Amino acid sequence: MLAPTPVETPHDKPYWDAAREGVLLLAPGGRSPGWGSDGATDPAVWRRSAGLGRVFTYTVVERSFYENVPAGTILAVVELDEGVRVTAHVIEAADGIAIGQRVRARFVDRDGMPLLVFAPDDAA
Amino acid sequence: MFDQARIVGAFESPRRKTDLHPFELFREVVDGALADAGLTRAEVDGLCVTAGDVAEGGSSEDVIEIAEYLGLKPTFFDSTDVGGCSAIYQAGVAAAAIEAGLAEVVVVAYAACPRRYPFYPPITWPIGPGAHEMPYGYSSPSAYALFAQRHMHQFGTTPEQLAQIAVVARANAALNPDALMREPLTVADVLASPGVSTPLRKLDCCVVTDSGGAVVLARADRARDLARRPIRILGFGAQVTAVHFSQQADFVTTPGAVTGARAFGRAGLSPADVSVAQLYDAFSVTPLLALEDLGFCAKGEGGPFVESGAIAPGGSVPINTDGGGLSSNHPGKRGVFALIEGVRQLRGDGPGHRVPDPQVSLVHGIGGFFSAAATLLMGND
Repeated sequence: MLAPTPVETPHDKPYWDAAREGVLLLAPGGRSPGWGSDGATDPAVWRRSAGLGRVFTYTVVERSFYENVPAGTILAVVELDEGVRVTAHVIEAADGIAIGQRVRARFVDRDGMPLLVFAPDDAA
Repeated sequence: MFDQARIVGAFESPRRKTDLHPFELFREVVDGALADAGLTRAEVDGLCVTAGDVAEGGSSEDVIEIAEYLGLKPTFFDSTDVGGCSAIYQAGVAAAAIEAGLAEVVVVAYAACPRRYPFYPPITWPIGPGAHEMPYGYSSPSAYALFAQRHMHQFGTTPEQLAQIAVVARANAALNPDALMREPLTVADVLASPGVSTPLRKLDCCVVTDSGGAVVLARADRARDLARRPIRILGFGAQVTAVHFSQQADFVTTPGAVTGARAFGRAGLSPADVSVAQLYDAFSVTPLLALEDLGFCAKGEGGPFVESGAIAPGGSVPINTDGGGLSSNHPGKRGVFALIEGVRQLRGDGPGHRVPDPQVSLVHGIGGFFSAAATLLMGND
Protein backbone atom coordinates (compact mmCIF):
# COMPACT_ATOMS: atom_id res chain seq x y z
CA MET A 1 0.00 0.00 0.00
CA LEU A 2 1.25 3.47 -0.84
CA ALA A 3 0.38 6.68 0.96
CA PRO A 4 -1.35 8.62 -1.81
CA THR A 5 -0.13 11.52 -3.91
CA PRO A 6 -2.31 14.60 -3.40
CA VAL A 7 -4.70 15.61 -6.15
CA GLU A 8 -4.85 19.33 -6.86
CA THR A 9 -8.16 21.09 -7.49
CA PRO A 10 -9.04 24.65 -8.58
CA HIS A 11 -10.07 25.15 -4.95
CA ASP A 12 -6.53 24.76 -3.58
CA LYS A 13 -4.48 25.60 -6.68
CA PRO A 14 -2.97 28.71 -5.00
CA TYR A 15 -1.58 26.47 -2.26
CA TRP A 16 0.12 24.05 -4.66
CA ASP A 17 1.44 26.83 -6.94
CA ALA A 18 3.12 28.43 -3.92
CA ALA A 19 4.31 25.06 -2.59
CA ARG A 20 6.10 24.40 -5.86
CA GLU A 21 8.02 27.64 -5.15
CA GLY A 22 8.76 26.51 -1.59
CA VAL A 23 6.25 28.90 -0.03
CA LEU A 24 3.70 27.85 2.59
CA LEU A 25 0.37 29.62 2.18
CA LEU A 26 -2.41 29.71 4.74
CA ALA A 27 -5.95 29.51 3.47
CA PRO A 28 -8.60 32.02 4.39
CA GLY A 29 -10.56 30.83 7.40
CA GLY A 30 -7.48 29.74 9.36
CA ARG A 31 -8.31 26.04 9.50
CA SER A 32 -5.13 24.53 8.13
CA PRO A 33 -2.73 25.69 5.45
CA GLY A 34 -4.20 23.91 2.47
CA TRP A 35 -7.88 24.17 3.35
CA GLY A 36 -9.79 26.62 1.29
CA SER A 37 -12.92 28.40 2.31
CA ASP A 38 -14.97 31.13 0.64
CA GLY A 39 -13.05 32.83 -2.11
CA ALA A 40 -10.10 30.50 -1.85
CA THR A 41 -9.63 30.25 -5.62
CA ASP A 42 -8.39 33.88 -5.53
CA PRO A 43 -4.68 33.71 -4.61
CA ALA A 44 -4.88 37.22 -3.12
CA VAL A 45 -6.88 36.07 -0.09
CA TRP A 46 -4.28 33.54 1.03
CA ARG A 47 -1.69 34.55 3.69
CA ARG A 48 1.95 33.63 3.52
CA SER A 49 3.21 31.68 6.55
CA ALA A 50 6.64 32.37 7.99
CA GLY A 51 7.01 28.59 7.98
CA LEU A 52 7.96 28.31 11.65
CA GLY A 53 6.20 26.43 14.39
CA ARG A 54 6.40 23.94 17.24
CA VAL A 55 5.71 20.23 17.44
CA PHE A 56 2.32 19.79 19.15
CA THR A 57 2.38 16.02 19.14
CA TYR A 58 4.13 13.29 17.17
CA THR A 59 4.71 9.58 16.80
CA VAL A 60 7.58 7.58 15.34
CA VAL A 61 6.21 4.92 12.99
CA GLU A 62 7.86 1.65 13.96
CA ARG A 63 5.65 -0.74 12.03
CA SER A 64 4.72 0.83 8.74
CA PHE A 65 1.65 0.05 6.62
CA TYR A 66 2.90 2.10 3.65
CA GLU A 67 5.89 1.31 1.45
CA ASN A 68 6.60 5.04 0.98
CA VAL A 69 6.32 5.86 4.69
CA PRO A 70 9.14 3.72 6.07
CA ALA A 71 9.71 2.68 9.66
CA GLY A 72 11.43 5.54 11.45
CA THR A 73 9.24 8.21 9.85
CA ILE A 74 8.18 10.88 12.33
CA LEU A 75 4.51 11.74 11.85
CA ALA A 76 3.64 14.99 13.60
CA VAL A 77 1.10 17.71 14.11
CA VAL A 78 2.88 21.06 14.00
CA GLU A 79 1.41 24.27 15.35
CA LEU A 80 2.56 27.15 13.19
CA ASP A 81 3.39 30.48 14.82
CA GLU A 82 0.31 31.83 13.04
CA GLY A 83 -1.81 29.58 15.29
CA VAL A 84 -2.80 27.06 12.60
CA ARG A 85 -2.02 23.34 12.91
CA VAL A 86 -0.85 21.07 10.14
CA THR A 87 -0.12 17.36 9.73
CA ALA A 88 3.37 16.64 8.38
CA HIS A 89 6.53 14.56 8.63
CA VAL A 90 9.55 15.81 10.58
CA ILE A 91 12.81 15.06 8.79
CA GLU A 92 16.53 15.41 9.61
CA ALA A 93 15.86 14.41 13.21
CA ALA A 94 18.04 11.36 13.73
CA ASP A 95 18.21 12.03 17.48
CA GLY A 96 14.43 12.22 17.71
CA ILE A 97 12.23 15.19 18.51
CA ALA A 98 10.24 16.51 21.45
CA ILE A 99 6.86 18.15 21.89
CA GLY A 100 7.44 21.90 21.86
CA GLN A 101 10.48 21.67 19.60
CA ARG A 102 10.94 24.48 17.07
CA VAL A 103 10.67 23.36 13.44
CA ARG A 104 10.85 25.03 10.03
CA ALA A 105 8.74 24.16 6.99
CA ARG A 106 10.18 22.88 3.74
CA PHE A 107 8.70 21.29 0.65
CA VAL A 108 10.14 18.12 -0.87
CA ASP A 109 9.04 16.46 -4.09
CA ARG A 110 7.27 13.12 -3.86
CA ASP A 111 5.92 11.61 -7.06
CA GLY A 112 5.70 14.99 -8.77
CA MET A 113 3.82 16.85 -6.02
CA PRO A 114 5.25 18.98 -3.21
CA LEU A 115 5.11 17.40 0.24
CA LEU A 116 5.19 19.75 3.24
CA VAL A 117 7.72 18.57 5.83
CA PHE A 118 9.46 20.19 8.77
CA ALA A 119 13.01 20.04 10.04
CA PRO A 120 14.26 20.94 13.52
CA ASP A 121 15.31 24.57 13.80
CA ASP A 122 16.48 25.35 17.30
CA ALA A 123 17.76 28.74 16.18
CA ALA A 124 14.26 29.84 15.10
CA MET B 1 -35.01 8.54 28.52
CA PHE B 2 -36.71 5.93 26.36
CA ASP B 3 -40.00 4.75 27.82
CA GLN B 4 -40.97 2.54 24.88
CA ALA B 5 -37.75 0.80 23.86
CA ARG B 6 -36.16 -2.20 25.51
CA ILE B 7 -33.17 -4.36 24.65
CA VAL B 8 -34.57 -7.88 24.41
CA GLY B 9 -31.89 -9.99 22.75
CA ALA B 10 -28.12 -10.22 22.40
CA PHE B 11 -25.79 -12.69 20.71
CA GLU B 12 -22.06 -12.81 20.06
CA SER B 13 -20.63 -15.35 17.66
CA PRO B 14 -18.09 -17.57 19.40
CA ARG B 15 -15.96 -17.46 16.24
CA ARG B 16 -12.65 -15.59 16.12
CA LYS B 17 -11.42 -17.01 12.80
CA THR B 18 -13.60 -18.11 9.90
CA ASP B 19 -13.65 -18.70 6.17
CA LEU B 20 -17.31 -17.70 6.01
CA HIS B 21 -18.30 -14.67 3.97
CA PRO B 22 -19.15 -11.77 6.34
CA PHE B 23 -22.79 -11.87 5.27
CA GLU B 24 -23.02 -15.42 6.64
CA LEU B 25 -21.66 -14.13 9.92
CA PHE B 26 -24.31 -11.38 9.86
CA ARG B 27 -26.94 -14.07 9.35
CA GLU B 28 -25.56 -16.17 12.20
CA VAL B 29 -25.61 -13.36 14.73
CA VAL B 30 -28.95 -11.88 13.66
CA ASP B 31 -30.61 -15.27 14.00
CA GLY B 32 -28.75 -15.86 17.25
CA ALA B 33 -29.94 -12.60 18.79
CA LEU B 34 -33.52 -13.16 17.61
CA ALA B 35 -33.50 -16.68 19.08
CA ASP B 36 -32.14 -15.22 22.32
CA ALA B 37 -35.11 -12.86 22.37
CA GLY B 38 -37.64 -15.50 21.35
CA LEU B 39 -38.40 -13.67 18.08
CA THR B 40 -38.21 -14.58 14.40
CA ARG B 41 -37.05 -12.70 11.30
CA ALA B 42 -40.68 -12.32 10.24
CA GLU B 43 -41.24 -10.01 13.22
CA VAL B 44 -38.35 -7.67 12.43
CA ASP B 45 -39.24 -4.30 10.93
CA GLY B 46 -36.01 -2.41 11.63
CA LEU B 47 -32.40 -3.14 10.65
CA CYS B 48 -29.22 -1.29 11.60
CA VAL B 49 -25.86 -2.48 10.27
CA THR B 50 -22.49 -1.15 9.20
CA ALA B 51 -21.31 -3.32 6.33
CA GLY B 52 -19.74 -0.99 3.76
CA ASP B 53 -16.07 -1.90 4.13
CA VAL B 54 -14.56 -4.82 2.21
CA ALA B 55 -14.05 -6.86 5.38
CA GLU B 56 -17.72 -6.33 6.19
CA GLY B 57 -18.77 -7.60 2.77
CA GLY B 58 -20.81 -4.70 1.46
CA SER B 59 -20.52 -1.43 -0.39
CA SER B 60 -22.29 1.94 -0.32
CA GLU B 61 -25.81 0.48 0.01
CA ASP B 62 -24.74 -1.97 2.66
CA VAL B 63 -27.97 -2.00 4.68
CA ILE B 64 -29.90 -2.96 1.54
CA GLU B 65 -27.42 -5.75 0.81
CA ILE B 66 -27.77 -7.19 4.31
CA ALA B 67 -31.57 -6.83 4.23
CA GLU B 68 -31.63 -8.66 0.91
CA TYR B 69 -29.38 -11.42 2.24
CA LEU B 70 -31.61 -11.91 5.28
CA GLY B 71 -34.86 -11.70 3.33
CA LEU B 72 -35.93 -8.57 5.22
CA LYS B 73 -37.61 -5.43 3.88
CA PRO B 74 -37.30 -3.12 6.88
CA THR B 75 -39.26 0.11 7.11
CA PHE B 76 -36.75 1.54 9.56
CA PHE B 77 -33.04 1.24 8.82
CA ASP B 78 -29.69 2.83 9.51
CA SER B 79 -26.19 2.22 8.19
CA THR B 80 -24.34 5.10 9.78
CA ASP B 81 -20.62 4.42 9.71
CA VAL B 82 -18.83 6.45 12.35
CA GLY B 83 -16.21 3.81 12.95
CA GLY B 84 -16.07 1.54 15.95
CA CYS B 85 -18.93 3.08 17.92
CA SER B 86 -21.43 2.79 15.06
CA ALA B 87 -23.50 0.01 16.68
CA ILE B 88 -23.73 1.91 19.98
CA TYR B 89 -24.97 4.96 18.08
CA GLN B 90 -27.41 2.76 16.17
CA ALA B 91 -28.82 1.28 19.39
CA GLY B 92 -29.71 4.82 20.47
CA VAL B 93 -31.18 5.64 17.08
CA ALA B 94 -33.16 2.39 17.08
CA ALA B 95 -34.56 3.20 20.52
CA ALA B 96 -35.57 6.64 19.27
CA ALA B 97 -37.29 5.04 16.27
CA ILE B 98 -39.24 2.70 18.53
CA GLU B 99 -40.11 5.64 20.77
CA ALA B 100 -41.44 7.56 17.77
CA GLY B 101 -43.49 4.63 16.53
CA LEU B 102 -41.33 4.10 13.45
CA ALA B 103 -40.48 0.52 14.35
CA GLU B 104 -41.42 -2.26 16.77
CA VAL B 105 -38.53 -4.75 16.53
CA VAL B 106 -35.09 -3.52 15.45
CA VAL B 107 -31.96 -5.60 14.96
CA VAL B 108 -28.56 -3.90 15.36
CA ALA B 109 -25.91 -6.17 13.89
CA TYR B 110 -22.25 -6.12 12.91
CA ALA B 111 -19.87 -8.67 11.45
CA ALA B 112 -16.56 -8.56 9.63
CA CYS B 113 -13.86 -10.95 8.48
CA PRO B 114 -10.69 -8.83 8.31
CA ARG B 115 -8.37 -11.81 8.29
CA ARG B 116 -9.51 -12.89 4.82
CA TYR B 117 -10.56 -9.48 3.51
CA PRO B 118 -8.00 -7.15 5.08
CA PHE B 119 -8.37 -4.14 2.78
CA TYR B 120 -9.03 -1.04 4.85
CA PRO B 121 -10.31 1.87 2.79
CA PRO B 122 -8.62 5.22 3.39
CA ILE B 123 -10.26 7.34 6.02
CA THR B 124 -10.52 10.16 3.47
CA TRP B 125 -9.44 10.73 -0.14
CA PRO B 126 -6.29 12.68 -1.09
CA ILE B 127 -8.30 15.47 -2.69
CA GLY B 128 -9.79 18.47 -0.93
CA PRO B 129 -8.88 18.58 2.77
CA GLY B 130 -7.47 15.04 2.61
CA ALA B 131 -4.87 16.14 0.03
CA HIS B 132 -3.02 17.79 2.91
CA GLU B 133 -3.36 14.81 5.27
CA MET B 134 -3.47 11.42 3.58
CA PRO B 135 -0.04 11.65 1.88
CA TYR B 136 1.56 11.33 5.32
CA GLY B 137 0.31 7.78 5.87
CA TYR B 138 -2.66 7.71 8.20
CA SER B 139 -3.12 4.61 10.33
CA SER B 140 -5.10 3.77 13.45
CA PRO B 141 -2.03 3.04 15.57
CA SER B 142 -0.43 6.35 14.61
CA ALA B 143 -3.63 8.27 15.27
CA TYR B 144 -4.01 6.85 18.76
CA ALA B 145 -0.29 7.20 19.37
CA LEU B 146 -0.54 10.96 18.73
CA PHE B 147 -3.04 11.14 21.60
CA ALA B 148 -1.00 8.91 23.89
CA GLN B 149 2.15 10.93 23.25
CA ARG B 150 0.46 14.24 24.02
CA HIS B 151 -1.21 12.83 27.14
CA MET B 152 2.14 11.59 28.43
CA HIS B 153 3.71 14.98 27.76
CA GLN B 154 0.93 16.98 29.36
CA PHE B 155 0.10 14.78 32.36
CA GLY B 156 3.03 12.44 32.89
CA THR B 157 1.05 9.34 31.98
CA THR B 158 3.41 6.38 31.73
CA PRO B 159 3.67 3.35 29.43
CA GLU B 160 3.20 1.20 32.54
CA GLN B 161 -0.17 2.82 33.26
CA LEU B 162 -1.34 2.17 29.70
CA ALA B 163 -0.05 -1.40 29.90
CA GLN B 164 -2.09 -1.97 33.05
CA ILE B 165 -5.26 -1.50 30.99
CA ALA B 166 -4.16 -4.33 28.69
CA VAL B 167 -3.34 -6.47 31.72
CA VAL B 168 -6.84 -5.98 33.18
CA ALA B 169 -8.44 -6.88 29.85
CA ARG B 170 -6.36 -10.03 29.60
CA ALA B 171 -7.23 -11.14 33.13
CA ASN B 172 -10.93 -10.85 32.25
CA ALA B 173 -10.38 -12.62 28.92
CA ALA B 174 -8.74 -15.51 30.73
CA LEU B 175 -12.18 -16.38 32.06
CA ASN B 176 -13.90 -16.03 28.66
CA PRO B 177 -13.74 -19.31 26.70
CA ASP B 178 -14.30 -17.49 23.39
CA ALA B 179 -11.65 -14.77 23.88
CA LEU B 180 -8.79 -14.90 21.38
CA MET B 181 -6.00 -14.21 23.87
CA ARG B 182 -6.25 -15.82 27.30
CA GLU B 183 -2.67 -16.46 28.43
CA PRO B 184 -1.54 -14.44 31.45
CA LEU B 185 -0.14 -11.00 30.64
CA THR B 186 2.03 -8.69 32.74
CA VAL B 187 2.99 -5.04 32.37
CA ALA B 188 6.52 -6.21 31.53
CA ASP B 189 5.14 -8.36 28.69
CA VAL B 190 3.39 -5.33 27.19
CA LEU B 191 6.48 -3.14 27.44
CA ALA B 192 8.61 -5.86 25.84
CA SER B 193 6.29 -6.32 22.84
CA PRO B 194 7.40 -4.90 19.46
CA GLY B 195 6.88 -1.18 18.88
CA VAL B 196 4.12 -0.17 16.48
CA SER B 197 3.98 3.65 16.63
CA THR B 198 5.53 5.37 19.60
CA PRO B 199 4.55 5.21 22.42
CA LEU B 200 2.21 2.30 21.57
CA ARG B 201 3.49 -1.27 21.41
CA LYS B 202 1.88 -4.38 19.93
CA LEU B 203 0.18 -5.40 23.18
CA ASP B 204 -1.22 -1.88 23.54
CA CYS B 205 -3.19 -2.63 20.36
CA CYS B 206 -6.38 -4.65 19.90
CA VAL B 207 -6.48 -8.12 18.40
CA VAL B 208 -7.74 -8.72 14.85
CA THR B 209 -10.47 -11.34 14.61
CA ASP B 210 -13.31 -12.44 12.37
CA SER B 211 -16.31 -11.74 14.58
CA GLY B 212 -19.94 -10.76 14.68
CA GLY B 213 -22.66 -9.80 17.11
CA ALA B 214 -26.18 -8.47 17.27
CA VAL B 215 -28.67 -6.99 19.71
CA VAL B 216 -32.44 -6.73 19.34
CA LEU B 217 -34.57 -3.85 20.57
CA ALA B 218 -38.33 -4.04 20.86
CA ARG B 219 -41.23 -1.95 22.03
CA ALA B 220 -41.89 -2.35 25.74
CA ASP B 221 -45.27 -4.02 25.40
CA ARG B 222 -43.73 -6.64 23.07
CA ALA B 223 -40.74 -7.02 25.37
CA ARG B 224 -42.93 -8.10 28.26
CA ASP B 225 -43.81 -11.40 26.60
CA LEU B 226 -40.37 -12.34 25.31
CA ALA B 227 -37.74 -14.80 26.49
CA ARG B 228 -35.36 -12.59 28.50
CA ARG B 229 -35.88 -9.90 31.12
CA PRO B 230 -35.98 -6.61 29.18
CA ILE B 231 -33.26 -4.01 29.60
CA ARG B 232 -34.00 -0.30 29.70
CA ILE B 233 -31.91 2.35 28.02
CA LEU B 234 -31.46 4.98 30.71
CA GLY B 235 -29.40 7.52 28.80
CA PHE B 236 -27.75 8.07 25.43
CA GLY B 237 -25.45 10.58 23.80
CA ALA B 238 -23.46 10.75 20.59
CA GLN B 239 -21.26 13.20 18.70
CA VAL B 240 -19.02 13.48 15.66
CA THR B 241 -16.15 15.95 15.53
CA ALA B 242 -13.25 15.74 13.07
CA VAL B 243 -11.52 13.14 10.96
CA HIS B 244 -8.10 14.69 10.21
CA PHE B 245 -5.19 14.98 12.66
CA SER B 246 -4.74 18.70 12.03
CA GLN B 247 -8.34 19.33 13.12
CA GLN B 248 -8.20 17.62 16.51
CA ALA B 249 -8.82 19.99 19.40
CA ASP B 250 -6.12 19.10 21.89
CA PHE B 251 -5.15 15.40 21.56
CA VAL B 252 -6.12 14.69 25.17
CA THR B 253 -9.90 15.09 25.02
CA THR B 254 -12.27 12.89 23.03
CA PRO B 255 -15.93 13.39 22.01
CA GLY B 256 -16.69 11.23 25.06
CA ALA B 257 -16.64 14.41 27.11
CA VAL B 258 -19.79 15.51 25.31
CA THR B 259 -21.47 12.14 24.83
CA GLY B 260 -20.96 11.11 28.45
CA ALA B 261 -22.41 14.37 29.73
CA ARG B 262 -25.41 13.97 27.45
CA ALA B 263 -26.01 10.34 28.44
CA PHE B 264 -25.60 10.92 32.19
CA GLY B 265 -27.63 14.11 31.98
CA ARG B 266 -30.61 12.46 30.28
CA ALA B 267 -30.44 9.51 32.69
CA GLY B 268 -30.16 11.66 35.78
CA LEU B 269 -27.15 9.56 36.79
CA SER B 270 -23.47 10.17 37.45
CA PRO B 271 -20.33 8.02 37.12
CA ALA B 272 -20.67 7.03 40.78
CA ASP B 273 -23.87 5.16 39.83
CA VAL B 274 -22.14 2.97 37.26
CA SER B 275 -21.64 -0.66 38.30
CA VAL B 276 -19.71 -1.85 35.24
CA ALA B 277 -18.41 -0.17 32.08
CA GLN B 278 -17.47 -1.32 28.60
CA LEU B 279 -15.01 1.30 27.39
CA TYR B 280 -14.04 0.66 23.79
CA ASP B 281 -10.44 -0.53 23.79
CA ALA B 282 -9.02 -0.37 20.28
CA PHE B 283 -5.79 0.63 22.03
CA SER B 284 -4.78 0.82 25.69
CA VAL B 285 -4.98 4.62 25.66
CA THR B 286 -8.64 4.62 24.62
CA PRO B 287 -10.19 3.49 27.93
CA LEU B 288 -7.85 5.81 29.83
CA LEU B 289 -9.18 8.82 27.92
CA ALA B 290 -12.74 7.53 28.32
CA LEU B 291 -12.39 7.29 32.11
CA GLU B 292 -11.41 10.97 32.17
CA ASP B 293 -13.91 12.23 29.61
CA LEU B 294 -16.85 10.33 31.12
CA GLY B 295 -16.02 11.79 34.52
CA PHE B 296 -14.75 8.76 36.46
CA CYS B 297 -11.66 10.82 37.22
CA ALA B 298 -10.36 14.29 36.37
CA LYS B 299 -8.69 15.10 33.06
CA GLY B 300 -5.08 14.00 33.31
CA GLU B 301 -5.71 11.64 36.24
CA GLY B 302 -6.44 8.53 34.14
CA GLY B 303 -3.03 6.98 34.79
CA PRO B 304 -3.19 7.09 38.60
CA PHE B 305 -6.85 6.05 38.44
CA VAL B 306 -5.91 2.92 36.52
CA GLU B 307 -3.01 2.26 38.89
CA SER B 308 -5.39 2.40 41.86
CA GLY B 309 -7.09 -0.81 40.70
CA ALA B 310 -10.43 0.93 40.15
CA ILE B 311 -10.94 -0.70 36.73
CA ALA B 312 -10.13 -4.26 37.81
CA PRO B 313 -12.64 -6.76 39.23
CA GLY B 314 -13.61 -5.56 42.69
CA GLY B 315 -12.75 -1.96 41.83
CA SER B 316 -15.16 0.96 41.71
CA VAL B 317 -15.74 0.57 37.95
CA PRO B 318 -14.66 -2.75 36.47
CA ILE B 319 -14.16 -2.33 32.73
CA ASN B 320 -14.10 -4.56 29.67
CA THR B 321 -15.24 -7.54 31.61
CA ASP B 322 -15.17 -9.99 28.68
CA GLY B 323 -11.62 -9.12 27.69
CA GLY B 324 -12.55 -6.33 25.30
CA GLY B 325 -10.84 -5.54 22.03
CA LEU B 326 -7.44 -5.89 23.62
CA SER B 327 -7.94 -9.60 24.34
CA SER B 328 -11.32 -10.98 23.22
CA ASN B 329 -12.25 -9.80 19.74
CA HIS B 330 -11.98 -6.90 17.31
CA PRO B 331 -13.10 -7.28 13.69
CA GLY B 332 -12.74 -3.61 12.76
CA LYS B 333 -15.63 -2.09 14.68
CA ARG B 334 -16.34 -3.35 18.20
CA GLY B 335 -19.31 -1.32 19.40
CA VAL B 336 -21.77 -4.20 19.11
CA PHE B 337 -19.65 -6.34 21.44
CA ALA B 338 -19.55 -3.57 24.03
CA LEU B 339 -23.36 -3.47 23.82
CA ILE B 340 -23.62 -7.25 24.15
CA GLU B 341 -21.32 -7.39 27.17
CA GLY B 342 -23.16 -4.47 28.75
CA VAL B 343 -26.35 -6.53 28.44
CA ARG B 344 -24.70 -9.76 29.63
CA GLN B 345 -23.46 -8.08 32.80
CA LEU B 346 -27.00 -6.96 33.70
CA ARG B 347 -28.28 -10.46 33.00
CA GLY B 348 -25.53 -12.03 35.09
CA ASP B 349 -24.28 -14.26 32.28
CA GLY B 350 -21.12 -12.51 31.09
CA PRO B 351 -18.47 -14.96 29.86
CA GLY B 352 -15.53 -13.22 31.56
CA HIS B 353 -15.61 -11.47 34.91
CA ARG B 354 -19.11 -10.98 36.32
CA VAL B 355 -19.77 -7.89 38.42
CA PRO B 356 -22.07 -8.87 41.32
CA ASP B 357 -25.57 -7.38 41.29
CA PRO B 358 -24.99 -4.61 38.71
CA GLN B 359 -27.52 -1.78 38.61
CA VAL B 360 -26.22 0.49 35.86
CA SER B 361 -24.21 -0.80 32.90
CA LEU B 362 -22.35 1.77 30.80
CA VAL B 363 -21.37 1.17 27.19
CA HIS B 364 -19.07 3.69 25.52
CA GLY B 365 -17.23 3.70 22.24
CA ILE B 366 -15.25 6.01 20.04
CA GLY B 367 -14.99 5.83 16.29
CA GLY B 368 -12.31 6.54 13.73
CA PHE B 369 -9.48 8.67 15.03
CA PHE B 370 -11.41 9.98 18.04
CA SER B 371 -13.75 11.33 15.40
CA ALA B 372 -16.98 10.17 17.00
CA ALA B 373 -18.30 8.77 20.24
CA ALA B 374 -21.47 7.22 21.59
CA THR B 375 -22.38 6.54 25.21
CA LEU B 376 -25.31 4.45 26.38
CA LEU B 377 -26.44 3.68 29.94
CA MET B 378 -28.64 0.65 30.59
CA GLY B 379 -30.30 -1.05 33.53
CA ASN B 380 -32.62 -3.95 34.17
CA ASP B 381 -36.33 -3.22 33.70
